Amino acid sequence: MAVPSSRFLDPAALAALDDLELLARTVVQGYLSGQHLLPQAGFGTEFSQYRSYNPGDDLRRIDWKAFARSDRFYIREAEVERDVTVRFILDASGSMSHQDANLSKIDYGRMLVAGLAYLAHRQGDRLRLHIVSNGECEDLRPGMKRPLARVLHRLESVEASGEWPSFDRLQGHLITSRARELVVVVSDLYDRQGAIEATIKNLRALGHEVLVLQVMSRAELHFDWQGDVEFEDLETGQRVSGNADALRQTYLESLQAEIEAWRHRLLELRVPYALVSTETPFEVSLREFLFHRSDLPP
Amino acid sequence: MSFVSPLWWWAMAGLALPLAIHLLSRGRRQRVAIGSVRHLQGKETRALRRLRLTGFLQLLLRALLLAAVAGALAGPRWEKTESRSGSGSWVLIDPEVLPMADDSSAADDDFWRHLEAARVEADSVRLLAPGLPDLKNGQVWEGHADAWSLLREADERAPSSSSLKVFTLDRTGWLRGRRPSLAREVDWWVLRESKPNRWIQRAVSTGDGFHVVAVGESDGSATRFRTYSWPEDGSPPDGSGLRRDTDENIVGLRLPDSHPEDDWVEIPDKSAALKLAMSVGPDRELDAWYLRRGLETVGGYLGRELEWSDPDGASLDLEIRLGTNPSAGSGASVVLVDGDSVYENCERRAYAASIPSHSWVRLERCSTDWGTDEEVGLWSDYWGRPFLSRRTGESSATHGLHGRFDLRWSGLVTSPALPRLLLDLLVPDDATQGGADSAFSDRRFTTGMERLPAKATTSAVPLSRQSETPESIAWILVALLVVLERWLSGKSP
Repeated sequence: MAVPSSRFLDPAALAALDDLELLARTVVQGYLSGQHLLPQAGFGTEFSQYRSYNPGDDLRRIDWKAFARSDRFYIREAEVERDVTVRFILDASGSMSHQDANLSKIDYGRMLVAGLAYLAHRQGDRLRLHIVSNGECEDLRPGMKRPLARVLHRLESVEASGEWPSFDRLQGHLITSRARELVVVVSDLYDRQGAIEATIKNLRALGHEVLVLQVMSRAELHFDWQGDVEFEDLETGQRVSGNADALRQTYLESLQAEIEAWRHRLLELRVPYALVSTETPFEVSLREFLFHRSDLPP
Repeated sequence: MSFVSPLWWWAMAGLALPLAIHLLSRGRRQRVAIGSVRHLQGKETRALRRLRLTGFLQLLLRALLLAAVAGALAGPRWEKTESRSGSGSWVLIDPEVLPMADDSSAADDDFWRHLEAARVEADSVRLLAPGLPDLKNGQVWEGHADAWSLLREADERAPSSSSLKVFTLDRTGWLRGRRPSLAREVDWWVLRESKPNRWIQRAVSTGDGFHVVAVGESDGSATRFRTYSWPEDGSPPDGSGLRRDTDENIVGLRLPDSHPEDDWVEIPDKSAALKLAMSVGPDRELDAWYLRRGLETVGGYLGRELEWSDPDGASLDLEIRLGTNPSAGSGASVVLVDGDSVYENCERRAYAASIPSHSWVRLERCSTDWGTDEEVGLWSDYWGRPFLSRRTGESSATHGLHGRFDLRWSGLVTSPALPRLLLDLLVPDDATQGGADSAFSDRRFTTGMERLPAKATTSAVPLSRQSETPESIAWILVALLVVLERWLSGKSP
């Protein structure tokens, strides 16, 4: 399948791709272009390559069978096993089903997770996926065999509904190991009972590195509806009627205050945070997020 | 304030349109599903209140705009001061109204009071009769004509600043012909006769020992005629309500509830036969046949026999010459001419091949002058072209028939107007000088709607004739309302 060749791919166009792996590869390659990152080679069980012996190399790494065949010293290298688990927590609550310009927030979040999972897998990290919806948390442990494919396959069938559960119902899934992990939370952060904040706090308390991506649509960010509108809450079904033009100012002020509050809280928790709009190309979102992540003070 | 075209006020029914738009647009609210309404809670009430207020103002403004457009189209005009005071007006009085001034049965005091006031203050008081004779000069014309053509004539002759006030009997029968388009407003005053609308239409002695009497009766919606017949030496049938009186050897009839003087009808002895002669030009044989049959039918109605004789014979009642361009006869005769027919040109084109579809000729009676003192138009076709004209000489009258009776030409032969057309020929005095009404009376009452066209058609008022009119003010108001409405629409969400 041909991939669009524009530098920044339209999210809605990418969302039309059926193949999530192809999509993730396309997005990540866009992000990686020009960075010349290579996989780290070193100790490990998975063979990577032979190279000539250089003075100073550990003699234990010399492949003696190769020396017997070729009468030359070769060092056998393997891909480094970093033993880092990257957890993705995808918010699939009802609010993520909000759609704007033919692209829903859950579609955008799904593609963000796919891109990051592809990136992590490329680095040899272990993957783990949590899909939070309907007050439950679905835990996917891909294992060692084709983990990326299994993650992407599950992501393809994600549908948003229900609410984010309380942390009590999540902790059994999230607190499984004392090993330090990287946790990526993709959500719109519509936190009703403080459950999302509690989850992040507890993950940080366990020493995990947490990244938060807040996904919002353009319409939500700019409130560009007009005329008489009846707004319906996707999670609670609550309805609010009014004139959009009259409501815009107060809505935007309230939204901005909440975004700032999240930014401060996450900064205090030393959690990298990025607000992404569904109209922003994926590779731009990834680049900005990872760039700002490195800005975080130690 | 009056209105040139008050019918435009019906456009106010269009107020339902902005109301419907308003209600529909209120009901058509966009529904949006968003992630959370937390940032909107608490603002709903205030927003809706503003919405209602804005919507109400817009609705009110649009309704005002529509009303202003309707008002402007209706053509508002200030009533002229001189019109209210009676000056600057022409008063036109139906000749049949004057004899009723002393009639106690016609005691419509309001009518007479207005007539007297208008007559005193008017610029000109005229009879509503051909020529519009000036009543102040003592001229009296006892004929009768249709109102529309006379009003048209009065409209052309009266000064542009004068209004028209018409005082007539309340009868449908004389609203004949095409409704005119007048250049001014007409004030109508009608006198409703208090006596019953029942009259003796015609009484004849058949000559074979019988009287035949036609009694007419009108109510508000229709006029009916009933014919009674009885031996000359007998009495009228009981159900007829007719009473036989003999006064100085003249036998007459009256209705029991009729006025003693006006409604006494003499039963004439059998009249002598009408002596007619007809000379037929080439290709006019069929016309002659139809005309002969028609005249005999009408003669039977009159109770008079027709006696056809040699055209060169003496003492003819009616001489008929059918031809392309016949010369008028001498003496007291009537000549039918079809030479300069308006149908001449279409004859050969339309009916050369076959006959088939003859079209009806719709005739309209219009007894008015046609430019000269002598020639009077009696009948015209639908397009106003002359069909039967009458030129009066010192001792004779010449009728010009500008049409043909041949079925290949028109449906005139089967037209209901034909008997009256021929009656005008056989009894010219009866038909043209008041006889039209006595021959075929129609005493139905007029209704406001029937008289309305004379006012409604005043929408044809040329603006240049109006000195001051608030119509332009109305259109300025419309423009202002449009600007205001657009401004409010742009401002409101």
